[in-house]
Amino acid sequence: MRSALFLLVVAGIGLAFRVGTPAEASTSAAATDTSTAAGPGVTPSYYMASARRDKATRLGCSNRRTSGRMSLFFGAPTSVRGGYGATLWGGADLSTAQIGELVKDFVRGYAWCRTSGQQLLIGMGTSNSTIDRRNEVWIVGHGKAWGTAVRDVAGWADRYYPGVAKVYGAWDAEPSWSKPRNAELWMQGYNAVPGRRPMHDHFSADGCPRDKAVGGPCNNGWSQYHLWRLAWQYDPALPMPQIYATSGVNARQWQKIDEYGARVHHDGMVFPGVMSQAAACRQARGCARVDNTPTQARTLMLRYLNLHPLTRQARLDTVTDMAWHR
Amino acid sequence: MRRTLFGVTVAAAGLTVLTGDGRFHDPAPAAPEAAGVAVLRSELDTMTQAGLPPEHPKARMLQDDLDALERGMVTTSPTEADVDIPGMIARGARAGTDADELADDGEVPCEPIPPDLLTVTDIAGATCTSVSQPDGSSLYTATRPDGTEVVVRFAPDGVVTRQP
Repeated sequence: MRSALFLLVVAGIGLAFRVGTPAEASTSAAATDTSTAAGPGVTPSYYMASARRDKATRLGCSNRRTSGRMSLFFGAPTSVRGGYGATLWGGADLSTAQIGELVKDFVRGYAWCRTSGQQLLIGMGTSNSTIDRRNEVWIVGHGKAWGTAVRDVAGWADRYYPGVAKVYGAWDAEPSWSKPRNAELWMQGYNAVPGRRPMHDHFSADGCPRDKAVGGPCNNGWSQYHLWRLAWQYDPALPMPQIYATSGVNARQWQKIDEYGARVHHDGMVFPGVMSQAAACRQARGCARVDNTPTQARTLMLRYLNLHPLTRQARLDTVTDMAWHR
Repeated sequence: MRRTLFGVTVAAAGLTVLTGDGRFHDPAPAAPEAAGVAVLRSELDTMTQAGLPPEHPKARMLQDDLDALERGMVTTSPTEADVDIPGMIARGARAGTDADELADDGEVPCEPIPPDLLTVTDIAGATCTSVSQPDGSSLYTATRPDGTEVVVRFAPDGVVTRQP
């Protein structure tokens, strides 16, 4: 009897501890909860401007109700102590390994605090900005390093949190930010990694045609061909483009890029989702005409895709809405 | 009676263990339509409807992920040793109002800051600095070739604004 009572007491203590801790964490996390998930298939994504691991864990905890695809962006590619990394904007530059640890901390916080069967498909992201200042060897090397780091973090998540999270690459690539050849080189590096993970391609289509699907020009030497190739033709690429403009022009541009791929290369795109930036615009106290809500972004993209039989798509499973994490 | 009490105790202890590692709060998703497996399944359906064959590399990768995620929901995985997750969450909650020792403090490579707070036009030929402030914010300044400056403030609460 004494042993049974002892076990009961131990179990009770254990229950009290375990049940109490995440509830406390959840309450405290609510104060700065930037997860804006609203409605099915809407997730938040973040510009990660803090290098603090405890804050990444807390951010994961604050996303305890989120399920689906999202991305964490860590700024432009850069060199860190002779290796590769990213800038985190005003946060400290971190190596790819250190960024991987931040993603792990995010997953840990999420796994600890989630209250039901939520599951995340998380992109670990960088951009193509500033890469024109680097040579070709460096750019390919950075792509390889990023692909390797993503693969390694994905392997860690598969081991410790296998029913909770899958880790992907993510890439914010914009024509105005680099020459197309340098973006291509970075992608070649990423794609060359054995076991490389699929990648959320959150591209813009700056200056691309809105009425023609013939491989026409975009900004900075890019064309519809480059965007189709990088956002779709590479096997890891999962296109989730930026649909920010309230006029619908971004959705028109992507429909034409898709139509171009279908007409010319007989390989039309399938979009797992799109990206909006309404939360980031609120944090910035407003954006003029580029602040689609997630619902508007989804509606516009589907409206334009379904204008043409070559680009018809029944649904978009994810709209992920950008916010700043600091 | 002793056996019953022992059984209740073991069951309670088992529940504690299952929930104590942060991965087994629920054996199955409460809202399957919103969970990751449902997203992957729906994405695969969309690809199939678009005419992609199941052996297409993208479809294969997503199918592999779907299979792994489903397996993971019924797999007992190892617990990470020496990781204090609640402690990290608590520290993360306290952080934010102090100066951030992990922020840049000096010259940085210029890069755009979304949403259009600092554009490629702003940083053309510019030099940039990021300087942390005692209140936990930091000021990201692009100084153009003509000497004019654009300043973006990263506040500790996540508000990022272009300064007038």
